[in-house]
Amino acid sequence: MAATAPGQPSSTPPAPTEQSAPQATTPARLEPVGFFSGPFKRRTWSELLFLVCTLVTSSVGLAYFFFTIGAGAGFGVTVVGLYVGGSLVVGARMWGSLYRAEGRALLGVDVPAPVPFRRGRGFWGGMGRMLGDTAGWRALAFLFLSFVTNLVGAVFSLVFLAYGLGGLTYGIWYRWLPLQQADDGSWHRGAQYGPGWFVDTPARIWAQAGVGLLLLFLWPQIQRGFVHLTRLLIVNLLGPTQASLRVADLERSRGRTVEDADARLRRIERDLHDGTQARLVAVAMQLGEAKEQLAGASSGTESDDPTVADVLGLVTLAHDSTKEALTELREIARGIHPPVLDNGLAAALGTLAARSPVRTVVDVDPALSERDALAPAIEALAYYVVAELVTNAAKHAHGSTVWVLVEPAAAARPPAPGSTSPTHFVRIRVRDDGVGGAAVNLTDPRPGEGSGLAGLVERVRAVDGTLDVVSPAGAGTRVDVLLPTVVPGEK
Amino acid sequence: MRILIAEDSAILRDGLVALLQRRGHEVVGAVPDADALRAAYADLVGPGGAGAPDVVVVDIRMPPTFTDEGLRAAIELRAAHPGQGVLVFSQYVETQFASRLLADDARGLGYLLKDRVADVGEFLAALERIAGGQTVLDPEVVTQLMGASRGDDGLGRLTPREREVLELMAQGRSNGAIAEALFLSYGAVEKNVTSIFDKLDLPQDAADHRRVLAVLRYLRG
Repeated sequence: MAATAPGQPSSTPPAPTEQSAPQATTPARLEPVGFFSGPFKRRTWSELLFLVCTLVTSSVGLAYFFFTIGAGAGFGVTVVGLYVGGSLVVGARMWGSLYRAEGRALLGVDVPAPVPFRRGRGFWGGMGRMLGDTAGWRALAFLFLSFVTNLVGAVFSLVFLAYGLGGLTYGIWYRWLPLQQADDGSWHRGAQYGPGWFVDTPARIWAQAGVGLLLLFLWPQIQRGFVHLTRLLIVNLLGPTQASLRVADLERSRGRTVEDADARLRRIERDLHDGTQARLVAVAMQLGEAKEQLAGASSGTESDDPTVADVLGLVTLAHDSTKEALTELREIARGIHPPVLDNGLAAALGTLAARSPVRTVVDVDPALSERDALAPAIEALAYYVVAELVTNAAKHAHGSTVWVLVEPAAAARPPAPGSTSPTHFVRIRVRDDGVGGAAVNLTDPRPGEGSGLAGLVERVRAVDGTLDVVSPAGAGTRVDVLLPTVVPGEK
Repeated sequence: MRILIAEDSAILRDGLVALLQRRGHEVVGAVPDADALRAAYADLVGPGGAGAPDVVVVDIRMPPTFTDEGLRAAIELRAAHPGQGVLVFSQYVETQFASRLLADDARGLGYLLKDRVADVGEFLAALERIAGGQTVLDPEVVTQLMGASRGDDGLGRLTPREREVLELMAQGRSNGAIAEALFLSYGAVEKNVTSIFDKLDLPQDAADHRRVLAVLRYLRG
């Protein structure tokens, strides 16, 4: 820590990616404080300022800590009163913010805030969330522990400083000390360190100054130690937990994976279209021409040349095969990424409905037809969700109509703690009037068969979406899918 | 015929040019994107529409965004020069594209799958029909449109034969072509057409391209 220039991190572990997750370790951008340079370093005085401030804040903080425990327990007798306790726990986060700010300004510790508090739903959910707020409890623990370190640190620091300065300047002000009588009757004016032992001779005054100087140099080191304890407390108790950091990191990486996969599929489809399909059309065209020329030749000449007829037959076969290949390739490409999706979800769903074997009615909210209403990966996923559900309905429901509704929505449940979830969602509802009885079979997924719906659930969950099936037997099926409008973890 | 081609795939573009030239048609231009198309068209066409090609063949999906550049260019062309023969083609048939293309006037308009190029004779016949002011729609388009308006009582009232005739009408075929395709007599086709128009409550119209529009409007609801 002392080897580097001020302001340069030396011992921080390397960030995993360019947008690194914030590291919950002490960034070593602290001024090195040598023994002889101690009292003159800015850091020393910042730390002193911190300790002086905490004389006030720590006390009030401790009071808050006890108040929380007391009032929480007291009011907690009535169930509703648990809300009081809960609010106090969550409120402790504010202390966390205060100390993080002080840490940043005075102690050179830059700790990111923990994951923001999200309200739970309902009476018990809300209360549970508040009472169980890890960040709040950690902040309370901090208040308790830091009180000790701060108070003791402040006392030591101030005492050393006072004695140091006092000793150093003793030679100047000892004359104003009151006269005291020693045991042997002599009168002395000076500090008394024992019976009959006064500091009023030049030698002793210089010694006193020396001691004061020593104390003055020791002061920053002592202070540093205590403040460092507080620093550790700040870093470990007031920042985001390792778990929540990992969650955020995983979410980012998952989001990138989802978007990469989507981009790759689009590229494949584009390559197929521009390359393979175009080439096949050209081949088919040439075969068609060859067929016509041969047909002309074989009808014109006499049948003494059977090879022409044979060749015509072969070319006709090749021509037909090529046309079939074109059709198949088109369907495959549509399965990889429907190109009309580039024109918007509404257009793509319109075509899907038209091609569906059962009557399908599509209703897409106009707000979702805006250019950037949905992230491309989400739009593609929405299309496949509808495609799969409509196919299922057509195959198994035996109903008359399938209704598809796509509209903006708000979140149904609060997101997982530690995640940076989006706030805007899109709801996809596919309803039919068939026989019902559909279920998502996740416990025994046979690969390929019956895994359509289960596979869909996994894709939906990969973006933190939800899928609910309501399918009473004989009363039709309704599937509700909620997708975020952007991939979580991505900006 | 004089034909202007806009197609971004070089393989296909060259193939089309060669094909058309082999059949004795004049290819007045072969461009790779929509802007080049507009420029080439502007160069060709003098005041009063002189020098315009008989048919402009346009690929829907072209650079830079690969969504619907060709379609937009075709619609613009038609708006500026009504009656200009335009054949729009694409690897995919999307109902939305068909709707936009056929918004007002269907005269001299065509929308085909690229696959149809493989049947050379039919493709050339389609070009000639478009040059002559008729409408040509890919059967896939019609299937999709008929699928989209399923469950409609009107279509249910038609006999199977009448449905076949309706599909071919929607593709833009004349009565004579329908008779050939379905191996019916001309008179039988006429009777079917009258019956269809009655049952679906459509205005009787002799011109084929207007009747395509009427049928399409009905199918789109």
